[in-house]
Amino acid sequence: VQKTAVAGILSVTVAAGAVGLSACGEDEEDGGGAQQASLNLTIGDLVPLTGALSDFGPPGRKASDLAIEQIQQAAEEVGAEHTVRVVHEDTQTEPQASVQAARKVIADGASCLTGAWASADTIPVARSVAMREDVPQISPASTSDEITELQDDGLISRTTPPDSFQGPALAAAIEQDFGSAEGKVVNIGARNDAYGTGLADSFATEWEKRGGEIGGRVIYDPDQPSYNSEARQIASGAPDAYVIIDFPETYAKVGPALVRTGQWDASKTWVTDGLKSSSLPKDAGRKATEGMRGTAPGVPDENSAAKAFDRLWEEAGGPGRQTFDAQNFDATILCYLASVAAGSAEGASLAEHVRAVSGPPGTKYTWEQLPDAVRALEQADDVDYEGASGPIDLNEAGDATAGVYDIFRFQDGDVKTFDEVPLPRLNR
Amino acid sequence: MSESVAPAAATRRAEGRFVAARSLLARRPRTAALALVVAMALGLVVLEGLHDVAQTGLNGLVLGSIYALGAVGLTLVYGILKLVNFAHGEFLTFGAYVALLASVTLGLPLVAAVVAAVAATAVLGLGFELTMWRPMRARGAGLLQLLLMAIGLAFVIRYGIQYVAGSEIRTLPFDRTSTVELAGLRLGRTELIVIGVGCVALTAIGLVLRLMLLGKRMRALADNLDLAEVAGIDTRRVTTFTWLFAGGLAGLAGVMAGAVTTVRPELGFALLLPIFAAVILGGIGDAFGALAGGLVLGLVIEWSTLFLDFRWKTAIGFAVLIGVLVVRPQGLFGRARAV
Repeated sequence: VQKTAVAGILSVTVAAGAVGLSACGEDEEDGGGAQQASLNLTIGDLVPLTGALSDFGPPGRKASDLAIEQIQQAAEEVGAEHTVRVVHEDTQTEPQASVQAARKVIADGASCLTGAWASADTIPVARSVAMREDVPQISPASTSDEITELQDDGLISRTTPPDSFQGPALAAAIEQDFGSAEGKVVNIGARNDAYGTGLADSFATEWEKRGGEIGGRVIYDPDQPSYNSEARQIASGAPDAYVIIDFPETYAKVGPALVRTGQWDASKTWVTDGLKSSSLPKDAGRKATEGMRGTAPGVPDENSAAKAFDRLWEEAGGPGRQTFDAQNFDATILCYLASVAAGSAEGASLAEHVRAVSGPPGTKYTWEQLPDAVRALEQADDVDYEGASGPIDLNEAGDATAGVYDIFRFQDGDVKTFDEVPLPRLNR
Repeated sequence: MSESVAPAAATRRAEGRFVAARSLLARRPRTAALALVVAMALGLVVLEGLHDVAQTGLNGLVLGSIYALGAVGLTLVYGILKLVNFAHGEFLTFGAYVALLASVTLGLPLVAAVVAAVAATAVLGLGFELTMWRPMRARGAGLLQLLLMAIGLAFVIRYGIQYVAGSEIRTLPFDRTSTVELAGLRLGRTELIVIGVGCVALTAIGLVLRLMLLGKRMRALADNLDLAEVAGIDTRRVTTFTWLFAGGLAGLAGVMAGAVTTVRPELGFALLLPIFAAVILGGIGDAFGALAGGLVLGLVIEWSTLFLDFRWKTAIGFAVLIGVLVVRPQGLFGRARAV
C-alpha cells in the first residue's frame, strides 16, 4: 500500500512538473480530456531458451526486448507516466518448467504474460496460472486447436492463427503446387503431441475434402533414439507427397532416417511452421532438408510495418530472424496497449481490452505509430493495432484471424520464403 | 479377410507356446529366452514376410546394441557396489560431448575422439567413486542415501554440460545418411559400425569377466563384499576397475547413441529408462543378462512396430519386462534368491 502511495505522490509531482515545463515551453497544448493515469506495467515473457524449441528462444526474447524499447520511446514521446518492463523466464519447452516460470514472473509483479511457445506448455500455464490468477496470457506461437476451446473468460489469446487454419492453408499450398488435389496420395508423419496430432487431423480432413487421399499416417513418439521403422513406414507406398509435422530436435533424428530409406524424396515433402528453422539443415543434414517446402504464419508481402520491423531487427544486432519473433513483439505491444486502454496495469481489467485493441473497430495503427495509438487510447478512442506479424484481429476465442501463411523452401542450406497463401477465412 | 483370421490363430499358437515356455524359462532361462526370440521371429516371418522382419530386426539390433552397451556398465556397478547409479545416463551424455569436443572443436580424427570419450568417461566414473561413493560407503551410507545422491549427481552433470556446451542440438561428424544395401535390406553405414563396435566391445568385456582373474574377483565382490575382503581380495582395486569399465562403456554407448542420432544434454537421460529395463530384464547385476536384455528389448520394440502403432514402442518394451518378471522375478539371467 505504501508503495502505491509513494508512487502516486511521485507521479503527481512529476506530472505537475511536466505540466509546468510544457507551460513554460512553446509546445502545443495537450487535449484537455486526456486520462493522465500513471502506469506501472510488468510483462512476463515465457520463452523457450532451452529444450525442443530452443531455436526460437533467443530471437523471441530479443523481439520482446525490442517491443519494450519501442514502448518506452513511445511513452516518452507522448509524455505519459508509463513505466513498462519485461521479465524473461525460460520455459525449457517443458510443461512443468513453464508453469514454474509463469508463477515466478507473476511473483515478480507481471500482470500480462507473453508465451509460452509450445502448445503443450501454453495450455498448462493457462489452466494452472493465468486463469487462476486472472492474468491475461498472449502466446506468440502456440497453434493447437485445444487453446481455442479453453474456457478462459477472454484471458487467453494468441497472435498466431491456430492449426485449424494452418491445416487448410497447407492443403491449399500443396493443391496449388499439384494444380489439383484430386486423387493425389499424401503420407503423413507427425510427432505424438497436441501440435503433431492436431495438425495431422486438420490437414487430413481438409485434404480429403479437396478430393485428395491420405496414404498412411504415422504418429511417432518424439523421444525415441531410433526412427528407422517409422521412416520406412512413412516412405512406403510411393505417395505423391509427404507431410511431416515435427519440431527440429526430433526431426534431426527422423530426417536422416527418412533419407536412409532410399525411397523418400525431400522435394516432395511439406512441413509446417514447427520446422521452419534456418539451423535445421545443419541439425538434420542437407540431404534431409534440401528442397523441402512448408507453410508458416507470415506477414503480407506489401506490409510496411513488417518491413520496418525487419530493419529494426537488423539494426539491433543479435540473433537473426526466426518464425514467431514478430508475433512475440506484437504480443508484448498488445499487453501494453490493453493496459493503456484499461488505464490500469491490473491483470483482470487489462484482459478486457486485449481483443478490442487488436482489431476493428478503430483507427489502424502500426508499431511505428505507437505514440499516436497511445494518444488515441488516452482520448478513449478505439484503436486497431496492426502488428509486425500481420493485422492480428483476435476473435471471440482469442485467436488471430487475419494474416497470411508464407510458403517457404529449404534451399542451399537455408530457409527462403517464396510465396504466400491467404489465411482461410473460417466461420469461427 | 486374412487380417481378421491371422491374429486369432497367432494368439492361440502363442498361448500354447507360452505354457510350454513357462516351465522351460524357469529351468533354462538362456535357452528359453533364445527360443522365445527365435519363435517370435519365425511367427512374425509367417505373418509379415521375411523381408520386413529382417529389416526391423536389423533396426532392433542398432537400438539393442546401444541399450546393451549402456546396460552392462549400470549392472556391473549395481552388482558389485549395490549402487543404483541414476547418473549413468549422464555418463553417456558426457561421453558424447567429449567426442564432440575432440572431433568438432579440436578437429581430431573420429577414432581418437571415440578413444578420448571412453577414457574421459572412465576417469569421470572413477573420480566420483573416489570423491563420493567410497567415502559414503566407508560411513555406512544406505541404499537410499546413495540413490538420492546419484539422482542429484545426474542433475548436476546434465545441467553442468548444458551450462558449458549450451542446449542446442549438435551432431557428431558421422555420415548419418549413407546406407549399405544387401539382399534388399538397408542399414545406415554408421548404424552398421555401431552394431559392429557394440558386438566387439561386449564380447571383449564378456571374455574379461569370464576368463581373467579380475572378472572372478568382481564376481566374488558381487556375491559378498565383506567375505571377498576377508578372502584377501583387494576390493579397492576391483572397485576401481569396475568404475573404469562402467564409465568407459557408458562413454562408448554415448558416442554410439550420438553418432546415430543427435547430441544434446538430455541424450543419456532419455535412454536411462530403457537401459534400466534392459538391466532388470537380464537380471540385476548380471553383465551377460544386461547384454541379452538390451538386445531382446531392442528387437522386441522394433518388431512390435510391424503390427502395432508406433506410439506403443515404449510401452511394449516395458510390457515385455513386466511379462518376464511375472514368470521370473530375478530376470532372465539372475539367480533365484529368497524372494
